[in-house]
Amino acid sequence: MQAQDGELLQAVTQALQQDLRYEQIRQQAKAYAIDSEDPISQLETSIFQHLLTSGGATFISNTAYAATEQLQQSYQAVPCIGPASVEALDSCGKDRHLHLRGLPADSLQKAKQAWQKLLVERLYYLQAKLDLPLVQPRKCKAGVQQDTPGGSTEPASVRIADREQPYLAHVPLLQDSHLFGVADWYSLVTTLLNSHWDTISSAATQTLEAVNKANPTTRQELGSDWMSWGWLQGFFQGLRAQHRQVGLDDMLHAWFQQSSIQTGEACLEAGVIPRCRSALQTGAPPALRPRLWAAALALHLPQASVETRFQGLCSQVEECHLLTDLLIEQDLETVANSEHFFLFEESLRAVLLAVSRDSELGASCCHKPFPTLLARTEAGNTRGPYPPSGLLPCRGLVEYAAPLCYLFADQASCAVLFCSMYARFWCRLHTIDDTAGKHATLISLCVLFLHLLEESEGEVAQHLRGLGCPPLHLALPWIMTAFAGHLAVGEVLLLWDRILGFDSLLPLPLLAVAVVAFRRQVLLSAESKEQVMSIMEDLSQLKTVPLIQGILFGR
Amino acid sequence: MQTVGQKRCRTDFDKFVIVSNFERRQWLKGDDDDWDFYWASVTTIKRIFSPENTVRLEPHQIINHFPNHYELTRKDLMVKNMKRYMKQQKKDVLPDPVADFVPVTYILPQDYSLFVEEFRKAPVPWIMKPIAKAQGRGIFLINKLSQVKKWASTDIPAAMRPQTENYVVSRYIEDPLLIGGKKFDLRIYVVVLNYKPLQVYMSQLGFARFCNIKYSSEVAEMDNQFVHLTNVAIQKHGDEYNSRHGNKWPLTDLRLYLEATRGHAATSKLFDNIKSVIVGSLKACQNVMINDRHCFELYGYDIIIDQDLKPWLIEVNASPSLSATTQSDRLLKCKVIHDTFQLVTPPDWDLAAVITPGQTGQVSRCLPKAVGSMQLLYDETTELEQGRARRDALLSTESVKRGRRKTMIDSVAQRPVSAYA
Repeated sequence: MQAQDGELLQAVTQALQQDLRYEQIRQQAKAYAIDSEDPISQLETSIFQHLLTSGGATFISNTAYAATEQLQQSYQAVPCIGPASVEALDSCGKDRHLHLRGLPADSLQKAKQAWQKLLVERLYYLQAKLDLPLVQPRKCKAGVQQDTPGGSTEPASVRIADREQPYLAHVPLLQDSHLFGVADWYSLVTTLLNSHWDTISSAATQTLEAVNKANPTTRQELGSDWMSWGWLQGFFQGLRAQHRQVGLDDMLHAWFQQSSIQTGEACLEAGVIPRCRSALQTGAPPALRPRLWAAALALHLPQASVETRFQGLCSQVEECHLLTDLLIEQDLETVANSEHFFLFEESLRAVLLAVSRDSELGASCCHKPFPTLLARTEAGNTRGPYPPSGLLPCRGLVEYAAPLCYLFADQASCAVLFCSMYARFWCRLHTIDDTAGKHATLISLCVLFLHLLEESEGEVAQHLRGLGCPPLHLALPWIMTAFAGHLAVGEVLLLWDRILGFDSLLPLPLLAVAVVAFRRQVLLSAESKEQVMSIMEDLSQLKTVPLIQGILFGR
Repeated sequence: MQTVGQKRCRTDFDKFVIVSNFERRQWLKGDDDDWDFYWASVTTIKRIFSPENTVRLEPHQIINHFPNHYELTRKDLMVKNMKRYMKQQKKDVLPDPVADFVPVTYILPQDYSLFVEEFRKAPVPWIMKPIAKAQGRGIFLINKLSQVKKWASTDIPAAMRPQTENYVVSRYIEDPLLIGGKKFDLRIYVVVLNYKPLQVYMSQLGFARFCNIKYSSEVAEMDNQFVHLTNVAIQKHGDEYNSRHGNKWPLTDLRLYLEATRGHAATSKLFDNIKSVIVGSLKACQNVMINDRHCFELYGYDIIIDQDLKPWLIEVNASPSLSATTQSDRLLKCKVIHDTFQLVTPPDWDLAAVITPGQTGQVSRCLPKAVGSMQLLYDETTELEQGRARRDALLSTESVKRGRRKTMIDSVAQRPVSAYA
């Protein structure tokens, strides 16, 4: 622990020293000390007081918090934390993470290899089918000054947002082929789980029994009763009915609507990151949501430097077309047809294309994107990941970005927020490893869903299996898209409030269990797989908050 | 012979949203004059309430239009009533004067010279709309007087010209609020139970209708209907039209977007202003409307929001479209019609409940705050009762004061004459 604290301190100091504002605060404090008339013995306390009042203390504590939580402050001119510190933090962080028991490491390794093989094969298949190169720079006519679109007055983001770009005309040839989607994840997860389900569930039961028998000190070491209702209830304290929730109480009481706005404003005034986060646990009033999310992720939005960087990425998109652009375009079809997001189609096109060129995204993810394909030049030198962000576009990637268009009107802020949320949360849904507990990744989330469903709605689970529709088949699309596109937009945002507030993806399997529990009567009376699918197709009338509260505390 | 509880209904529109709502209530099909509930077209209303028609409506019959609804729903009459109302408001010097909510409008050819004067003041485009047409037919933008030469004053007096030539010309709202770069207008459903006292409900279910193409105020695009006119009937024929969403965006999504991008205060103000616009427009017609007890009306309000988040009333439709372009559109309209039926036909609707013709006051029932998606927007009865209570209180104190000031002469003169004297 000591060594880790030392490294942490070093990382925090480094982060502070790299920020210009730290220097300003130091100078101000120095000036204050020189001008003050306090005796030297009291100088320390008076400087501390000065820092508190001037806001310097908030800045320092925020930076320290961000460093500890590995909130990469992307889009800064200077990276907040150096790569060496990131690795150090990574390693001390990972040791503290829980792991799913019962899943052997070599089967995970095999799954990863199979996954990589699948994706690479599919990419080359698509390339052959379309007969296009993976990378296509914009052609320059020899000797003639290219009639650059830069001659027009529109910014690059507007040009790349246009559906009528010549490069995108190749999209119909794809005919609904994607690199990967929910169906592929489903087969991966079920293959892993089916072969090891006995060991996993027995390990879970053993742990629970052991934990129940153990005394409090050893319980900490055993660590893992995270799949029990008791632990979850403790973790989600903020959702208890005693705390009024946005998404429930604000619709019932007008006074709460006002007071939640006032509390939120006060939080934003103080600007302390952990406070903003805990405010999100009870939900954000829609008007304050953009700022609260930005604060909780240690972002400063909107900002001029963000806009410039975004335009730079958009120009990069214009300079050089990638095959992955066509995959992104295909993904946008869902958005173009959706009654909630059709207006934002162009903005989302610009955001996703620009983000795919952002090389910082891959580096800032808490779980590095896998697989990372490296692009080589003809000479054989490695140039960097392909696409530059390291993120291979999958079916459904746009759905992580779509609800964000309801928060910010400008595309640059949406792009930054999307990167930040992907790096912190959604990358965990695209990771093949056994991290469990608060920072659970996809496989642990699925295990949690199945475990909780068995415990609370065993009858329904059995009935579904009998119909040839395993519960995970139903719930995985919801979990993988974080319910975007399934619930009404307002409800999705309320759910994502809790994800940010609790800094965990655990609300996702919980809500999935709650939805199944809510519709248990209808599901039990269903007689075929098709019936089940049609029953569960439309979730747009469901309300997130009462459902989660019900499943957690209504037992 | 009717069985009590089994209502007979008629409709002039064979639309799913109406018929399905009849069926779920197990209402039987009525005919001719044998009906309890009639969802009529405006032509039928004209026939029923015309002086030549000798058949009167029975007390229990409910019909879905007011006899002279056109005072609100015809563009020229609406403008006339609004102008009069605004003038009255300004004269009365009320504590909360109502801001103007209808764009400056003139009726052609009658107001041609007034229009020319206004036109010359500023180089803004104006929009020409035929008075009696719907679905965006015949609408076009103008920016030169030569385009309206046809309506210039001639020797033929206005009254002798054919009706179809009459147009209204309004100042075009050049800076509408754009989302995704596209122009939109709002469709809001409003149910009026009575005009006197004014009782209005507004549905929470509404939608914004978007244009297919991005908005441009360029002169070259002035004739492009797909840029400027949001009517579904027009946008449906564009190349970009996508029937999966039908260019309709739910009102709840709009509110969510505006709260986050414009803030809570501005958004609340906008929606409060929209409510004031609706109530104001109805109050303007309150005194000219024939308040027939058998009638209610479901209006489709078309409202445009400009960049400053100010709502403008474009027009009021007496027969809002009941066709559904998408699945959610159908669900929405079914729900709106269902809630309307719930509002106007209480559950204890019984043939025995008679609304006697001579009754002046409303059958006393406390109006519920919400019925389904319909929320009570304005109920004049509460205001009237408060006014009455205030007057009563004032009178009682006056009479007490008078009592104290009574002189001998007065009391002698006013002493009641004894019946036994």
